[in-house]
Amino acid sequence: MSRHFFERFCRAVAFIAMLTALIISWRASANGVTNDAGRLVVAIADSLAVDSLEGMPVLRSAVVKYASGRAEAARAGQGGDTLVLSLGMVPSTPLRAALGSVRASGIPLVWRDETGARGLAATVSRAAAPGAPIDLRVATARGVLRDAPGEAPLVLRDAGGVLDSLTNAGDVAAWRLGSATEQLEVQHGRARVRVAVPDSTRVRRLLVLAQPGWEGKFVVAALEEAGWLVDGTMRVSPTGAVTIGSPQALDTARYSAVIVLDSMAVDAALLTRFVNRGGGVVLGGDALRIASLAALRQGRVSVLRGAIAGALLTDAPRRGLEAWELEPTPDAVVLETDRGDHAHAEPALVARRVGAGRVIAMPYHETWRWRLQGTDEGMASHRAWWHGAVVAAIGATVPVRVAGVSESHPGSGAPYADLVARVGAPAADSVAEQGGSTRVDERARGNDIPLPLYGWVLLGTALLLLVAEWTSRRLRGAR
Amino acid sequence: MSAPFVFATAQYESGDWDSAPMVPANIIDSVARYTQLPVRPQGVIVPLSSDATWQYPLLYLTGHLPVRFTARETEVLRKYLDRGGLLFIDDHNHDVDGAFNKTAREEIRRVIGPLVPLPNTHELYRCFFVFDNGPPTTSHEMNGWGDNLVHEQLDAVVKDGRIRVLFSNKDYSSEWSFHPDNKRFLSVDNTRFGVNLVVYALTR
Repeated sequence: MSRHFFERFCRAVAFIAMLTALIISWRASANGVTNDAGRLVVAIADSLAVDSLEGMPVLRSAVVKYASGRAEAARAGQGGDTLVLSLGMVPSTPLRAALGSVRASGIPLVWRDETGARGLAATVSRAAAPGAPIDLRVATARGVLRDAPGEAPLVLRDAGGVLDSLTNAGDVAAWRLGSATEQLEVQHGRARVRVAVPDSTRVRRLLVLAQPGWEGKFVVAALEEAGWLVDGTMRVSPTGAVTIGSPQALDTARYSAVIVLDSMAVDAALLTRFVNRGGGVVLGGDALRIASLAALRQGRVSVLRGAIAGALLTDAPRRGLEAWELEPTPDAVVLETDRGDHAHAEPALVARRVGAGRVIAMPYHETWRWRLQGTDEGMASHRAWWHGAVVAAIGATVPVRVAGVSESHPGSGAPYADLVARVGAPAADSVAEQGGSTRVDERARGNDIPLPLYGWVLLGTALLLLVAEWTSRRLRGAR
Repeated sequence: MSAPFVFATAQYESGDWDSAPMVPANIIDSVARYTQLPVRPQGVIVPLSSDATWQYPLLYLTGHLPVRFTARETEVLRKYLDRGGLLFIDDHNHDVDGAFNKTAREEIRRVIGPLVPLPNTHELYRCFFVFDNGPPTTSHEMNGWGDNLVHEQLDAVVKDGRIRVLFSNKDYSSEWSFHPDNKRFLSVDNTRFGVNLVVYALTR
């Protein structure tokens, strides 16, 4: 009785296995070349691994077939086919290069976007300041990263693994990161984009020009605490000077900015040349009165405004400092103001572009008092103030390198964008069919077996089961 | 032109804070004599319990007797040092077993942390005058009083690369406590290290 049951089981399972193998082989044939009327359709479906050469034989045979068909059509006096690619996933780097070559050879090539991938664009910016955060913004070619049912999340990774994921990102997703490895990757469904993170530690130094005194000492201390490398020379006597750091000739290759703190003799021509070449200059306190720097100033400096007694211990501590009244010129930009005793606010930080650089004016005298005589937060506020002034003077952020510099092939940082660049935008009808949906591609993860292999395994299993059934029958004497 | 430097002597409730009254005038004289730093001709005396302490980023403190800071003095001094002030303490007894040395070190440990030896190659010793062997020896160290030792190094509390507390057992308070006019009788001015101290405080 049990042998009968075993034999029936083997027959049933073998039948199911053969049926499944047939379905699989039919599906696998989707990666192939078919002829529509006037359209040679090449389907490169989702059986491709991301960085493999799979798909190349399909493309090669399609090109051969296209060439022979075109010759026949030419003999018959008809026009040639259009080569239509139906891409089930974003092709690998070599395949994109091959597609680009096919298009460049003059073959009319269009592609249907069945990848379900979105064109992603990511930009990274980082202020040129020590320890500055990394600002990352991501947008799609289709505009909106919307939280829809079945929508894949936007996943942010670096070399250490997943950093964050968003399921409802809005029009543009943005992250502010404290730190990350050299390269960031954003994935949305099948689309990926990689961007290199600019290194903010490659900051140039600051040069402080000041007389010996508490202001110079504590401004240098605040900037060093904020992470800047500071050079300076303070003349103590006609023959003696104290050097801070290792001051060298003023050059934009070495220095990001120069901070002038006192009314003192400075080489105005050198400073002007430095700013014109892209350097930053901060004129603080009495430096606004240096006659030779009038061409760099942001406005007219009139009278010294007195400090308000006790204000250093309030929430507006800068009112407790003496400051020059500053009337900005029309081309100057007031970055920060303080509440004033008059009807108008007092400019506290004024910027002006000079050549390729910026000059910042700060009217306060003896800001060290803010640090020593202020509240418990005074020290941190003083440090942040000077750090902010220097960053404002430097202005520009570090140049952003989009697309991975560590990639072996150009364009592999943003493969979808590279595909569009090489073979043009996808055909519009298929875009409409897709409706912007995103399918998760298990193949892209590269952790399972190609579909046809399952077919062979199933056929082998069916054969073994039939042999077992036949053996069982023979052993019990039946035919 | 930056504001003139003001030499400030710390006044504390315990002990004899005013044991070396001629030191300020002598250091002020030397700073004016050797440098072009603007300096106020008179020093000030600042109670350590007062908020006025924060107006003077360099403070000089000396005495012979035990030092015990009050709660208010401790609070003010801690904030003063945290915010970047520099406190120069000189043991007027030049005695490592003396009451001032022991109690002042305990108090500094309690306020900001332990004192550690300052290397004799520190920039303090070369920021204006150059002292190749570290702190200059005083004529009082071997005068039969105190511990009768030549103290090879000064001690300090250093934070963020800057000296916050400088502690001396060399008795500069005795060495520098004379009328500035009498410098003309010295072959080498023994207050030169005081100039280095002021220059260091104003620039680092």
